[in-house]
Amino acid sequence: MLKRIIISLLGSAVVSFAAHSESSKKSLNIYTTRHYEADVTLAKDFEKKTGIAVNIVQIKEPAQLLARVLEEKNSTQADLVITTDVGNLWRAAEAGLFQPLASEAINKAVPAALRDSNGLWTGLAMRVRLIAYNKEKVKPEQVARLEDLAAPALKGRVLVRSSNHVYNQSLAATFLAASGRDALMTWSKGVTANLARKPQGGDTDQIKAIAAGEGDVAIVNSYYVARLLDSKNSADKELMKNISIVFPNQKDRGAHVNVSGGGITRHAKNAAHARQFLEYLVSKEGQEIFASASKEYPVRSDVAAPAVLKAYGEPKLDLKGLSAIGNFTPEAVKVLDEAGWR
Amino acid sequence: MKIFLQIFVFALVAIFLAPVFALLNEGVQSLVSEKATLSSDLLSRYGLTSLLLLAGSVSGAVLFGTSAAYLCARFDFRGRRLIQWLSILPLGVPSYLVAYTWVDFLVDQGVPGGSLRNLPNTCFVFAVCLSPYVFLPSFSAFSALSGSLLESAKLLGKSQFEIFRLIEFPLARASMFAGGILAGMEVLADFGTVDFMAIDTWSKGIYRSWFGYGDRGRASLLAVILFLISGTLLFWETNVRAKNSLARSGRSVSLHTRKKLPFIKSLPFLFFALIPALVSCVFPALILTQRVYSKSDPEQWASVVSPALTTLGMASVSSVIVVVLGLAMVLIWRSNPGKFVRSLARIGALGYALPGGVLGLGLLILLAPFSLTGSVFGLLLAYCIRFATIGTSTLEAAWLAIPRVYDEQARLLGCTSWGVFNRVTLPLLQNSIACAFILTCIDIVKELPATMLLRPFNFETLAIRTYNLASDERLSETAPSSLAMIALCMTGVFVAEKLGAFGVSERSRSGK
Amino acid sequence: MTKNIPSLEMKNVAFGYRNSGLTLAGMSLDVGEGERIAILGESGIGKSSLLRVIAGLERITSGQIFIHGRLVSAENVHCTAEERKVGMVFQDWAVFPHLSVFENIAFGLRSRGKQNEERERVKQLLEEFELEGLASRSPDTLSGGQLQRVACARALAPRPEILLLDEAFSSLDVGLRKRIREQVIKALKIERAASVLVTHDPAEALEFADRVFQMRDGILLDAKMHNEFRQ
Repeated sequence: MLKRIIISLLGSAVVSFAAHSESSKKSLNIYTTRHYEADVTLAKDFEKKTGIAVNIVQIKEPAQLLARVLEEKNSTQADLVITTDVGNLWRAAEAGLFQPLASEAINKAVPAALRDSNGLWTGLAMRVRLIAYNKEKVKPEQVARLEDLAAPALKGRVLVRSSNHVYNQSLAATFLAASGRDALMTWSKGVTANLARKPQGGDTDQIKAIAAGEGDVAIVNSYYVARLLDSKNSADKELMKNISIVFPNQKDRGAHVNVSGGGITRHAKNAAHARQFLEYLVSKEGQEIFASASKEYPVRSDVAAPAVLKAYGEPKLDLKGLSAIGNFTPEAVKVLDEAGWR
Repeated sequence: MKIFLQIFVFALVAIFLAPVFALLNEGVQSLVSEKATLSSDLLSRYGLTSLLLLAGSVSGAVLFGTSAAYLCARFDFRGRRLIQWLSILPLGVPSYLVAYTWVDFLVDQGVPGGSLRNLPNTCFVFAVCLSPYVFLPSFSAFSALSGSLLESAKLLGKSQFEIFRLIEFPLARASMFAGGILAGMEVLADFGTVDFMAIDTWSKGIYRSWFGYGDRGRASLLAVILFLISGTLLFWETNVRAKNSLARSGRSVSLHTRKKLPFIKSLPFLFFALIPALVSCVFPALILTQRVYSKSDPEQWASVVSPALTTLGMASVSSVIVVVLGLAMVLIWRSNPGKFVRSLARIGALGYALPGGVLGLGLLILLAPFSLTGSVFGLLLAYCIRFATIGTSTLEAAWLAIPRVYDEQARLLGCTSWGVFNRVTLPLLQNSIACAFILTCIDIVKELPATMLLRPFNFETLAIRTYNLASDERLSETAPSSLAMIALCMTGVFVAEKLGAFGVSERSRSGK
Repeated sequence: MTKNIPSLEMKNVAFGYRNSGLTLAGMSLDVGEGERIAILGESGIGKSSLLRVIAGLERITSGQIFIHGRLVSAENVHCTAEERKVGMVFQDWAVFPHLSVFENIAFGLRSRGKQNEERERVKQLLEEFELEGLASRSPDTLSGGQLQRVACARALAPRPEILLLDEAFSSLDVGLRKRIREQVIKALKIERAASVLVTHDPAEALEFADRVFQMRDGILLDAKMHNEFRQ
């Protein structure tokens, strides 16, 4: 019987090692935090077009992904690193992870504000942080700016997810960069005091909470709103029936925006393939897939915003704030913690 | 030969403890440097929350587990066998799945989310999911109580309650305790559930330090502390079990007759005993099935096949290794019955005390220089370190139950050491080998954090898939992979139970 | 009658478990070929230890043990149990639960792969112990008496020099005991094996053995010759 065990063990080992052995085919190895159908589609299309096999390691938590690729140092297999949140891109660049993109195509396609000033990474798709509100109970003027959420009139009516999440941390960072520490502290304390419930759940849960009457306004990402609006599930559409959205701070700095982006790793073995893929992602074709499949805002100016969000207009975006996120996040997180925003 | 085996044991223990030392090293180095980091205020909050969570969850688990165990061990009533079986069932469902499913379901029914994600509810989720850890040893202990002991007490005029209080409870207390400790370890190790339920535990502190503040050193220190606490619990539990001879042999011989309980009278107890199974298995399975069918999209199943195969494949291979390891340990113990080797092996069991996420971090640091991160080997190593003790302790317990006489008899009949192992020990361990394999498989199917961090290219497991979807707030889409996970684990629990893994089935054991 | 080599010779054997002092203190014993010996003594006195030492399950501290003229135990010599030609029947019989009666009896016959010989031998023993028809049965379906006989048959199958019986009949009820004892004696005669029975029952000792010894303080006393009684 022992013999049977050993044989099956060896057999499986052989099979699994064989499955992961290197093929002679052209390949591209990506470490990404993203796990959306859009990304799968893009990879498949790219493979079809160029014959380059795309291999993916997806690690949801950006810091985990960065920890891994940095720990691997120069023996890393990653050619390309894609991550959400510009803060992570910034941290990766600071840690010396990337090599210069050196791509004319990318420079032409992507506005300077949406890629690294040193040419180390480029943005690929954007999400806007906006305010959703109950149409019947709140007027859009009441929530025209993020700062309005600290107003006494909204006491007990504000919903938002935990400050643990990078969406809020980045939001706080741009706020900090734009208005300074005291303003951020005041605002955080104000929002915390206005909370309808302890921060919990994700962005979709905040919307569900508005629909359930737990609160009247919420800070959420465009991605989740778009998904609900576009859903085939009637229950989802029901949710959005009485809810509308507003892009905050249109009259001053613009709505907070964050990008997913990517860069070529310093020790990439297939740097050329990586560059090709990035160029594909920022091409018109690629950007259109982002807009339609994952409902994110394209970084290219000549590609339309996601259809479902068009009804709400073309938002003014705080692109300047984007570059501040990396630097200002640690301080912002401290302020959030101190203010009691859990 | 002896020296070779001793070196082998040393090497194993070294490998097992390596991730911890890697983290310790990080942590110590960080003490030297200065960095913006988690305030001690927050730390004490995390610590307190963890403590409260632990207390609530373990009390709940003990409450559910012990009452069901007592009911089934001491009374006979219609549906008793079913209740016994249902009491083990929660082993097949990860607690994070239970949390996701219920919260999503209730929120859809209009219950305000705010009232759902709190400490008491989280304790409840853990209590029902971990109750089998208490049920099993308690059931064993209650069943093993001598009938004549209890009858004498009755003749001396003691009421049922007094008998419980003065005799049964004290004797079974150690087993309940041991079970409670194991449940506690699981609570400490959890991340998925507390993350979802917005409970800030110590594990959260680790992740927040590492990821939020980028302070690896501090996070490593916290991780080591968590490991030490967990390890202490594990040692405690082993000692408690060892001291209490009632719990030791694991034989489920009923030495007493059960008291008959009329169906009507049994109903309130029945209902209470059913809660864990209903809450953690039956209802979530129903909810998830309903979601799957309401979507009526055949595609959703197709996308589950690949991760399911990967999951099964990895679990099987790792479990085989774990079982072989366990058998090797048994061999070593047989030829080296000294205490030193035994205690070395116990240290190896500490891998279980390492929460998956912490283990992943430690292994990352350890494997990177050898380019082994992202290899199947690295993952196998992680699983083995974390779950080896399941294999070794199951096999050890089963092996101890084989009377030494068999070995001696075989030797007198001309068998060499190897011959004894091959012709007597192994055949008698067959069931336990299968059980060890299955139990390890179940735990690997549920494993998440280490798998995510160390995964190879194009490699997806059911747990990862479910987590990705759930964390992207696409809870209804998690149904296919969640159901697949539950199906796999439940099958495992079912088969293992039939093979006598849990000592709950009434089949007579072979051997005198 | 030519003087045959004794099946067992023990010369001044000393043995003790750690921390317990000497269980055997300079014990000497000779058992001739085909002879039956009984050892009497209170419980816990070390009778089992004596058997274990002869079987090779324990190492002796000093002295010598010869089995059929071959030195198997001494201060620096230890022939392992599997290499000695000694059979033993324990008090609880220890019949392998995962093997059939046939497989149990055949257990010690492994190695040379002479299947036919093996089968014949097992058949012979089945007959000697009146176990025909039970060959394919599983041990958990057998009675105490049947198990006892299986254990004895199993021990005798490899043709040991000596058969050791450690309170082998004590677990059976009185009526059964006599019958089985007679079967065992008959088989021993056929197999021409010497035997040492350890028991606490004097009557049994007298019925079974040619010579009876008493064990006290680690040595043997009071050899009683009973051959004249039989004649």
